[in-house]
Amino acid sequence: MSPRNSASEDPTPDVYVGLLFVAVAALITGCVFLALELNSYGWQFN
Amino acid sequence: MSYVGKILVIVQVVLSLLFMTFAGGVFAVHQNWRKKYEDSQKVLVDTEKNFKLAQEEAVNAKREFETRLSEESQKAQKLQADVTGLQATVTDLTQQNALLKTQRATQTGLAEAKANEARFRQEESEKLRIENGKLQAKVNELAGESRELKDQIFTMDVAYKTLNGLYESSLSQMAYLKEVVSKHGMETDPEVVAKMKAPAPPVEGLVTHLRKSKSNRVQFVEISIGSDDGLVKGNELDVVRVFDKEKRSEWLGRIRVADLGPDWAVGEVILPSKNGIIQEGDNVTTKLGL
Repeated sequence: MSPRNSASEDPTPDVYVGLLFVAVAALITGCVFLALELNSYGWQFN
Repeated sequence: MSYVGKILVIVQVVLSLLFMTFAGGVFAVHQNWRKKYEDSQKVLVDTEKNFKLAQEEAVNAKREFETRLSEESQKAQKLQADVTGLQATVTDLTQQNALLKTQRATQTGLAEAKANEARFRQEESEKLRIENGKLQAKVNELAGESRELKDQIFTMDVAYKTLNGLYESSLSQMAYLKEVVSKHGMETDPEVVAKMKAPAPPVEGLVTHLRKSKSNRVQFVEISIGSDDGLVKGNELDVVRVFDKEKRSEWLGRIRVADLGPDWAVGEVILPSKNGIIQEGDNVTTKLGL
């Protein structure tokens, strides 16, 4: 792990931060699809 | 960032994308099993209901069928009885049919004979029609002639009436003339006049009575012959006296019949003789013809 420099400087976002946002968007979309699927069953699990 | 953190970020991104893809695929192609279950339940309930209805209908149908079966059995028995009766009727009708066939054959023969007779009568009627046409033409011709004859009859009738009027006026005139002639002592009977014109028949008779005039001359003599002997008024007879012994006769005069009966006549002396005087018993005759 790299040592921390001063606390006032934020690290520059790189491509991996973008990939994390993409992952978040994909998870949210997948959750929406699943919510819609559960909605068709009336949110009853049995 | 370390190398392992980078790999984990990439793996996380890939897995997130796979999760999103599977979730979208499930949402896109999923089947609503609950709805299918409910539909199936509904179909099952409807089917059970229909099955119960069908069972009730079957029971009713069976009951009705049994009822109808009993009715049809009764009908069949009745029809069997009817069939028996109809067979008897068929037997009777067969006999009647045979009888009717016989009668039909007879009637057919009669009908053929009638047809032949009708054909002959037709031919005869055609001939008579032709004759009738000829007779009709003749009737028309005779009607024309009858019309002409009627015209002639009418003309003759007019002429007859005219002549009848003339005849009646002539009769009146002749009656008047006869009256005038009778008043003058002349004969009006044509037969008597014709006899007067004809020569007197050859007869002989005797003088039966005499009548003399104031000058003592014989004016009228009655003789013994009359109209039965053929005399008529106007006949002239000679008066003669026959002397049988001396076989001679003497002419005494001529008389003209002025009146007469069946066996007598009165004559007026129209030509006296100077040889003698007429007396009763002298002869009168027309045979001299002087």
